[in-house]
Amino acid sequence: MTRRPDPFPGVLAPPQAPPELRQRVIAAARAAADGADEPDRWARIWESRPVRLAWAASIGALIFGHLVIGGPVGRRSAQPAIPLAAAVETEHELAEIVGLERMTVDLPGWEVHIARDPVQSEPLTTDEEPS
Amino acid sequence: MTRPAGPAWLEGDTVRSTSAGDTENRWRGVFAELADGRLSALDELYDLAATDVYRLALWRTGSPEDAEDVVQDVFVRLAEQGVRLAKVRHPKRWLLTVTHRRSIDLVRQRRRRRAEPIEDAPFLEAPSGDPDRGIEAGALSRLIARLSDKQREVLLLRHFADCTFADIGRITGVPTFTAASRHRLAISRLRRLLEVEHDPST
Repeated sequence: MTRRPDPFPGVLAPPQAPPELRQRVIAAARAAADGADEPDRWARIWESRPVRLAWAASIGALIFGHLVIGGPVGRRSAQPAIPLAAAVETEHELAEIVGLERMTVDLPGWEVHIARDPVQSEPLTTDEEPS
Repeated sequence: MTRPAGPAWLEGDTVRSTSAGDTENRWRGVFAELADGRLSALDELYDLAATDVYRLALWRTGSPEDAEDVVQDVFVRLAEQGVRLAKVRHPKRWLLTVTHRRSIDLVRQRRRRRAEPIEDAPFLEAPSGDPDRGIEAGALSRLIARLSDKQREVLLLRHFADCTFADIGRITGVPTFTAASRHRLAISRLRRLLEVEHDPST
């Protein structure tokens, strides 16, 4: 089979961007850059001195209210959730549960045989002379 | 059996050599000017970047109209960065990465909108006024359309955007080895398609 001539010479290349695209793209980019220079709403709020003072004042009021008005609430919450009498009763029940007698292997009348190998559990005979 | 000859960029792993250092410095200079708020640098940046951005978007989306939209979106996003552009260390790579991501987004939206074949996409073109070359460009474009999006993308970045495999990996978000592997597979597949095109009995 003979070698074919090169059908795809290197002059082929991907197309360039259309010439009319240039003006459209640059105009859109300029508009975006102009818009990017203006701070957005949250940036304006953050940079506003009165708004920041109001925010600081509200935080201060919250802290003051928590310390002054919330004091008794804090003391109430320091009381135990379970009354002392109930706690003592609960401890007694717990002590009884812990103190229950357990079944043990040395109780009288019980014998425990652990046979790992049934052959070994057979009684040994002494009829045969040892070799 | 002799393999049919392919295009020069398909036969070897040759990449056009350019003065990469000078180009990189120009990119950095333009980005620095834009970071300083000098919007006149947009014209120079367009001259530097528009071809690569448009080609990458075209090869990734398979649609000239979508590629134009991607170019506009990329430049708009770039202009919105403002002073943050001064922190970009590799401007060309950064811009191609934005192009890659925006192209993927657009392809996803387009697939939701309509299923449109890309066989007629002009991935390659001949110099104007050469009808024979135009036919060849159309035939090869149809073969390129049969590659996957990722394979087309790596071929374009390697052979027409002067990117190294490390650059391609950074741009497409894959390891360098994966980028090289994709390139090898794309070349192999394109060669097979060319063989079938030249000798349909195979």
